[in-house]
Amino acid sequence: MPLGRTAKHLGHTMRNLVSSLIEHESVTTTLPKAKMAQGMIDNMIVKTKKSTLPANALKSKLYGELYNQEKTVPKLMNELTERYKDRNGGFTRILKLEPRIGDNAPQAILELVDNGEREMKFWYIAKTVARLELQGQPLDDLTEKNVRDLLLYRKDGDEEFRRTVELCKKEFFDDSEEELKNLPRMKSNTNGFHRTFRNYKVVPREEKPKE
Amino acid sequence: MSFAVRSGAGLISVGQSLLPRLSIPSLSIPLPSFLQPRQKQAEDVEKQEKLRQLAQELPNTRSGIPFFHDNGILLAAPKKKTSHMKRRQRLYAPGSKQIKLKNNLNRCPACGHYKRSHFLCMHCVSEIQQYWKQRDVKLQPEPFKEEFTNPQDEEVLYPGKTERMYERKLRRKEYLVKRPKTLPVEH
Repeated sequence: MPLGRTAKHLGHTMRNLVSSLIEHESVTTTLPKAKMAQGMIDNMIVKTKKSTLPANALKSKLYGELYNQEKTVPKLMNELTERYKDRNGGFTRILKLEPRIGDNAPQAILELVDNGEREMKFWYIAKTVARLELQGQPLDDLTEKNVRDLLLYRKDGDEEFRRTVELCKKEFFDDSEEELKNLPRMKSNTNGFHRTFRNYKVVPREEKPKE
Repeated sequence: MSFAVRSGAGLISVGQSLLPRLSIPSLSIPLPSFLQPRQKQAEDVEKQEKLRQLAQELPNTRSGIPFFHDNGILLAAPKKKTSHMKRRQRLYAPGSKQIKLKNNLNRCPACGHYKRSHFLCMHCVSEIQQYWKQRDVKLQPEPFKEEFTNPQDEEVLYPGKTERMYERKLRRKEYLVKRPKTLPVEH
């Protein structure tokens, strides 16, 4: 039995999780549940995007697949399909957390990407950038790459990111000099990222003598 | 490990105290019949008869405490007590049961404390989540609060409304175990 549940119980658990995710944009659960729900939500968004059914038929189909339908179904059909029209997949991401206090279960955040309200990765990277700027350090390659990936398909992403960075500076580094004391320890410029692909020299191939 | 066969004698003694006295057969050795008075002989015959009846009914009676524990079937039991050394060897020696060292430690790019690699720093996560909470509370409509034009009305309606010790504890959530702030990096 997956997740210690019968098939019926599992179905309802996943349906609950997916509905909550669509409603709140982000859920915190255990890692196995998050992994299972991730595939289902991705599949559901792809099928809704590519659906050739008339709107009424699609709506009634989704009513059978979600809970709290009055909120979730219109949101999935309108808002999410509009937001992810340029993406072919990867509508969600999983962020691992420390184990839960009490039963020590591994936890994870499952969130829809490019959501405006509660995107943990967006805020985490914004906080990182804010800290580096307060310390007067340049962005390292990994952070630069993270920022680039984060804002790739986001609408007005740059402005929002800038705004969030300023907010982070005000909110989280207001009176904490302790957190700014530790400078980033970069052993190399790559900071462990794509080290093998960057430290190389291009040697031109020897031209064959023409006969 | 070796096992010896032992009867459930302890359970019989418990059973005796629970059973009514009449139904217990006496275990004393009877005198030969010609030495006993006649009245006693008659009683003995009655007793034997009763015991036989009881023995016949035993398999049929499902309720109540059985005459013998498990109807006299003998059980396996360890022959010797497990020694202190052997028990501790079994329970605490295996490496799989001991706490493992964590080598996958990194520094959080957003606050500089230690964190596990490929995991988020819980300090930063909780800070961000707390901020979201504050932000979203402002957007929501204010909860309903009862207003009194005359302050005496409130005293009449809710007399003796004081916060008890346990209520204060519940409100402050002191019973919750809190996650410690991660260790700062030493240079």
